[in-house]
Amino acid sequence: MDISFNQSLPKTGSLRAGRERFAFLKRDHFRRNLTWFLMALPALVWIFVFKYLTLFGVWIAFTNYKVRRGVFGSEFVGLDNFRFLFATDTALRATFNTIGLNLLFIAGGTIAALFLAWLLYEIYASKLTKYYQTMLLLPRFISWVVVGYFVYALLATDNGLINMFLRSIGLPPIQWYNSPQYWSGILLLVSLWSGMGISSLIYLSGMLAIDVQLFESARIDGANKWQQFKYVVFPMILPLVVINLLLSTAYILNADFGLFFQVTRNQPLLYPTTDVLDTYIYRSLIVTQNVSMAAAAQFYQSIVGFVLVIVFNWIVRRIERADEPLSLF
Amino acid sequence: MAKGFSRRDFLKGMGIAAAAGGVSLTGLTRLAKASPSRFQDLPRLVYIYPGAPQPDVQRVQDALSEYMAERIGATIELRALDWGVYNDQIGLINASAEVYDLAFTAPWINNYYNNVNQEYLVPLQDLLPSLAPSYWASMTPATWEAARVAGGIYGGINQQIFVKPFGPYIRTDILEAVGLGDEFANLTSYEDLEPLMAAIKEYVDQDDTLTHVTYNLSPLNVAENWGFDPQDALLVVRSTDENAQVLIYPQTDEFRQASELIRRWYQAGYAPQDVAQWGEMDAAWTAGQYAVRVSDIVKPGGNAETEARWGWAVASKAIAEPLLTTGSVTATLNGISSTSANPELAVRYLELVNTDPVFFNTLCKGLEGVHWEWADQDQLLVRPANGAASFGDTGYNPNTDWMFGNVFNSYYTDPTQVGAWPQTAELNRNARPSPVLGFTFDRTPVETEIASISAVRTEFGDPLGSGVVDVDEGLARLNQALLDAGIERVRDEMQRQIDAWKSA
Repeated sequence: MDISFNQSLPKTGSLRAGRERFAFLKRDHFRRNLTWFLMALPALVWIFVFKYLTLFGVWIAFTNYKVRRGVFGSEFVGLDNFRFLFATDTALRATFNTIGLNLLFIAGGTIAALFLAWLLYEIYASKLTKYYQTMLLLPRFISWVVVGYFVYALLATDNGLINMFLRSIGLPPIQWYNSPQYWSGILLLVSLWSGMGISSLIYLSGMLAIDVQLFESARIDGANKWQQFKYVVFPMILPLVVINLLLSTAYILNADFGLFFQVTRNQPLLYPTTDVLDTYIYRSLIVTQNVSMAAAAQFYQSIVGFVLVIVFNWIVRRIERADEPLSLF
Repeated sequence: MAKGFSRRDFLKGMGIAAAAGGVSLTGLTRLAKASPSRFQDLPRLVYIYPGAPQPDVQRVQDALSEYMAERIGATIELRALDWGVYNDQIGLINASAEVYDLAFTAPWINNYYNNVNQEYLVPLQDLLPSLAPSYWASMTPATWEAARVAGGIYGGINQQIFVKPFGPYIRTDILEAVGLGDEFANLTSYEDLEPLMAAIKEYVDQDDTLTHVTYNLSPLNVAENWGFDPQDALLVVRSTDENAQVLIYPQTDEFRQASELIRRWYQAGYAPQDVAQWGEMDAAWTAGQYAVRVSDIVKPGGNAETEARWGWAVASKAIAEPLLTTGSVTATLNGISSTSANPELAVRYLELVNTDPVFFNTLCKGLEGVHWEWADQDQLLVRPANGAASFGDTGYNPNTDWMFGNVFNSYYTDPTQVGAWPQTAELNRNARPSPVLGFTFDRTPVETEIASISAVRTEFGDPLGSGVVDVDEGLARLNQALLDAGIERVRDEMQRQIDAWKSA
């Protein structure tokens, strides 16, 4: 992202200004930004070692892999390993659930994070801001197993908080773990609770880069809070939003296993709305423990994400204005 | 960090730390040299198994090494990996071809069949008869056949209870309170249990601590309970069917009968209505919240074991017919790694641990006089040494005799257990052998179908096992899902393999 690499970010704060493609190839670029590169180095090394050096392992997905025979010594079986991902209605449902829930999480997450960032921005001068930020970040660090028990304490039929409340006001209790219709919403809430802290921080940092004079002139023109957000904040951080959305599409077929397995307590009656590719793959392969089929599933998830990023980026490039580039590459 | 801390200070600090490290390292080496190392030149066998760390493992290891050195000319290194990480770590050790000699393997942990499939283990069928003759002779050829996969026997079988006579366990205090002890002792089927469940339900409703009659109904539809030998992927063979016809379990009358029983008991409120709660069954038992475990393995000494593990004195009654199956024989194996430099010595170790009670009990319970002492040597009964309150306090108590070798050589730790081993051996001997005992299914041709079946059986099978869905509707959906997942192809392939295996 420009914001972290370009020291000469204009003080006016517009993220769009001064963007040049391939700026990093300029001669003195590395020297000027040496500190930033050093800070990024551990992550770059990690990505290189674990994401690039291991790429050849993709071949495992097309073989009947035997560890002792090696990746290229194992028998080639073509697309056989991919069949279980498409063989049954259950498998296809898992794919659709994954895409649907991810779209829901992306849309809900973006709206909620923007809203939250705007709230934090409004009180940024307050001493409590740091406290709020920390509190919002905290859920991210709680293991899904523990979160699963939190949710169970709320939803259990006999002694869950929600059902105790329902009973106390004379309503019949709801058997949450038998009722798949509620779970898209429940999972959305849990995922927001857990992830909103980090994404709102990203947007907040974008908002903080906006020149306050813009707000002042907007206020003089009589803009209310919503109009300030609509005409000042949103256009200014649109590039950040687009980048975030583009990056999330890369993971459209990946689901957070902990969320879908632990929080639902793996209850079969909830599968119609909560069974995603990762849980489906887990259930399928826990018995046979077939490495090649697992590699095939991972490859399928990655390749779809890769294609989607290329496609969406292409669409963004088609509709962006020449003076306001939004696309990733 | 202090402001005046310069780079030079840092390096100086590092130097001091390094020097201190060097000193302590030398100290350790000296210590190691001081300890008895008479057998330094002998090959050392590395044995990897799951278990909690034991403070005194070094002492036990030294004693075992000394004993082994005299008999087979090798020493041993005990490498226990924590239960939670064993599966992952041994997988990594195997995949990276790390050198070791022996490891615990089974269909349920460090998967035996995958290990054979990946060529991680040494075939033993030729080594055992010559190098471990008494161990080889201690079990029938049919028993050894059960461990045969793809033409070879890749694991040493630990003798223990091979049959799984399933039946209900019930808390004796509650059984006495409802006064149905005789009825319980004369049970012959799970349906007979119904009046008892109803009586206990009434008792539970009046009691303060008890919340339910039972906590989990799903063990009721385990295939062994209904006279089948379960195979892969919900396929079964009837225990009395000499032709060994492969059946789809959910299509059988027995499966329907089990599902209806479960549904009835669920609707009667014998188990928590919220199935998400069933996962807490062990904690709820210890807390004394329910009275009956509907179906578990009933075995000699089992009542004492259950009480020791979870609390509460219990009575149990076997209902299912004892059946000797491939799965039950291969439940505990010790395999020899294909990276081992001394597979022959490892086989001789298997002979020692499975036939020598002194060696075996040292591995299981530690040293006499240090960790345990005789309570009654004639009865082979031991107790914690030096007045320790329990074996857990002695410094060495892996408490997994069944993992190391032949449990029939194990000393009894509880007076009520005395005599359990000959009874168990008798049970094994008299059990009806399954018509497919020794057959192991090769999944390779139908792995895609098995993956699909694994995914749908939880979704449509589990609700029938917990009783939350209507039986007719649930069965229809399960069977349709299984057909879609290709269960008939798996059944036909298995039938073909069984027919070929029988005619061989």
